[in-house]
Amino acid sequence: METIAKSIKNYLEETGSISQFAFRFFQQAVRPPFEFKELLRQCYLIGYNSLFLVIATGFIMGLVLTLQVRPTMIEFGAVSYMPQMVGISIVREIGPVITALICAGKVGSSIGAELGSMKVTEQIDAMEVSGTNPFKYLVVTRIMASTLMLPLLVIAADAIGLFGSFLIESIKGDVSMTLYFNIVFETLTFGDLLPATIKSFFFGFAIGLVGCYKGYHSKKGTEGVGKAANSAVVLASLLLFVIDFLAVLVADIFYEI
Amino acid sequence: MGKENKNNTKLGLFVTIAILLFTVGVYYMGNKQNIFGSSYKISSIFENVKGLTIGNNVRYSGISIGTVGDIIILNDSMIQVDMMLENKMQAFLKKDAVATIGSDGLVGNMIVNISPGEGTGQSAEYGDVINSFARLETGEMINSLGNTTENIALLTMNLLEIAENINSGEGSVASLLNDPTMANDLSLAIKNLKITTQNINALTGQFQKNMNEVNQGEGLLGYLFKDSTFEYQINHITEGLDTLIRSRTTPIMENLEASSKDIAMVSADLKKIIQEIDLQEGLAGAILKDSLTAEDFKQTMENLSQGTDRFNENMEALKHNFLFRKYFKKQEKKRQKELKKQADAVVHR
Amino acid sequence: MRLKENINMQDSKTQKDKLVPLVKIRNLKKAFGSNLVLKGFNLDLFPNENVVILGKSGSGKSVLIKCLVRLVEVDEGEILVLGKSIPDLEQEELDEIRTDVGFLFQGSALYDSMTVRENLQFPLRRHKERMKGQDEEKLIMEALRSVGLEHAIDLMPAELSGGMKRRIALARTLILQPQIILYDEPTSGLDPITSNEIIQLILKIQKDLKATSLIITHDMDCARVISNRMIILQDGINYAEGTYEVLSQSDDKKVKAFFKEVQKR
Repeated sequence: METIAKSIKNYLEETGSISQFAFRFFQQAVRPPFEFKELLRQCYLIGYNSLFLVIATGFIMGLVLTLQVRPTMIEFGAVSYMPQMVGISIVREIGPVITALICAGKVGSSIGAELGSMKVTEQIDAMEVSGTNPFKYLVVTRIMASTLMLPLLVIAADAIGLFGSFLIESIKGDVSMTLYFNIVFETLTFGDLLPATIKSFFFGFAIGLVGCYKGYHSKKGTEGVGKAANSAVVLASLLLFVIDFLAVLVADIFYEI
Repeated sequence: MGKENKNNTKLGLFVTIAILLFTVGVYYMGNKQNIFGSSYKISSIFENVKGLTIGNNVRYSGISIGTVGDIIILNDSMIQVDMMLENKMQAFLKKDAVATIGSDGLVGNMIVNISPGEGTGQSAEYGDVINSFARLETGEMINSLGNTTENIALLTMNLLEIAENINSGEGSVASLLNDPTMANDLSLAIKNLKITTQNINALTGQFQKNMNEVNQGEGLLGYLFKDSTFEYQINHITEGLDTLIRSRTTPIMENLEASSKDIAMVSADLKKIIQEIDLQEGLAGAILKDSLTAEDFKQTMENLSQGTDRFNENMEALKHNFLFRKYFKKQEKKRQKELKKQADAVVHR
Repeated sequence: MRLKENINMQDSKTQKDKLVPLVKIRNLKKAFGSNLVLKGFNLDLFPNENVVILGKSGSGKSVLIKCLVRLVEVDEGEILVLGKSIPDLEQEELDEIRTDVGFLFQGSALYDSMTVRENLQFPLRRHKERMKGQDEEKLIMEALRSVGLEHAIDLMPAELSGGMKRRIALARTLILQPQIILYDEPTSGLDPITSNEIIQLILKIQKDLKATSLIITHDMDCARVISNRMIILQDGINYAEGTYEVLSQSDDKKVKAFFKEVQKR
């Protein structure tokens, strides 16, 4: 009973302090000076350096999804609906979520570990006394970079995933590229692409926020750094699904209107 | 510094490609949904839109040409459907085109199908309202067919009853056969029938004469039949007819539906008539109640047989006509074959 | 009682030198949760002084000097640095003060993701924005020369030894030519020879820059060599002060115990 009360208290404390952290981010993000150079560097590190991983997973995701779904569709005699099915599932759900999870693993943990070790070795304090606002320099740039880069990564993953799916279709079902993408684009609407893109901005924000929060508030010692990296990934992944659920709910409301 | 520039270049490349992909995706989607292309509006008014929603496709003779832009309820039996169509369709879409609402495949989305009109009307302008046509759903068709079948079943039952009554010597027909008092009334009717038959005889004679003329290549019809140059024209006409039939499948469907309704009505009427006969009411009842003399009847029969002879003669004449020669030959062959078959069967036995 | 004597002694010295203290701390209190770390600490730091604060680990030494540059917010008390009240400053004024107060961190705190050059550029980019190009390069080279590590300019911190790191960190602290330098355990984690090198370097820089220093350490050798004056931080207050000679001869039980313990190490 006591442990339950304690864990509820811990949960509330953590939620409150993450919210405060997010609030501080918005507060600092709109105020000059802006760390453009560092932002660019972080965009490179988060966006470009994750690109290969995201493309590889996206491609395999397209292949696997098509291979798995195809037999069932054949059973229903609906194999010509494959492009529609795969297109919608990749663009609406699988692309954003898989990419975000990959990035939570790669980016979230690296941000958590980097900021954690900077905190532990007093580098953040050193920045503070050097007249640079470390929150702005470290946290704002990272959160902004991951917020901006994730949608782009999602688009890359979507494109390559659809291409992977097309490869299987063309090998197994003799579907031409023009036909495949024609059907995909005929099926997809803004109601599919827009919520998915907006959703991925939130995914990016959540990954950056949780990574920075965990790193910035990491406990002293090497153990604290490891813990920060680990809990950043766990919490970010969990948060992604919560956001995804909420996004689908909201998108559904708008879709019906 | 150099490294940083290189990294920024890579980042720039990545961002550019991703945004390009996004733009291309959005453009293609928009293209398919006709959002960016200039479009023009055509409306049509339906009684029931059957679940059509904004964004559903509009097809013109099967080609996707736009989407449903808006659906407005005008009053309790009129729903206006606005369609945003590609601009280039303006040249093809005439004012007499007809819009119907159907579904894309068995379980697909609802679509608006625009069938071209006669092709002679003016082009439809922006905002024009074209005619709509509410096609009967398969379900409704089956419903009305079901009604017809029910009526037929009832009819058959009544007929059976009548036949039974006759057999057992009950009812009007039986009494007609037994009752001599009806003879007088009936003889009058038979006399009339006789006159009619004579008229038919005369007409048949006339027809025979005409046919002979045809055979000899006289008269307009003869000229038409004999002249081989007309064959080409006939072919042409046939082609024209084909096109016409194709373009008119929709009205024919309509007629079919109407016919099936008519059949239902006729069956109902028939049923009513037979019931009336049963009750000895109406004209037929009266006729049957009339008495008849054997002589009049016999004369009528003679007239009829004469008519039949004439008819045979006509048929013979027809046989010689080139148009029907082939048919009769075929008939003959068939009969021969049948005979042979029978003979064979006998032999085998 | 001895405590009071010491303060009186210091007061007379102040009057003699007719100097205004660069740093003045009165009744400083700081608690972390229920753990009271500082319970009313007082300090005056005069120009050209080298003051060493001695204390056991966990006694709140680091917290004390972090309060001076507001890396830690105080609960109660007065902190004046160069005549400005630190807890009440706006961010910009605080940054201004921070250019005049150098801080050498315990673990060197070099930025791992940057080269030595970028590490030294970092304080310049905000504090001396007018310095560009040649000037900046000159400042960096000068700072590196003063610690004797010009050749390491393009290396990453991970490629440096502990002593080199400490010296680069010192160069980074010096590059803004501060009036006051705060050292947080300058010799911790270093072998005795390297420690000695660092101590000599600190003294040399002291002389060159004519800076005032506040050094936190539990290394008695370091304290003895560097200090003009020593303060023992015990139970959250400035328990005793004086020169090394005075304190080492002290009769106070706790001071004696402290010396004994430190010597043993």
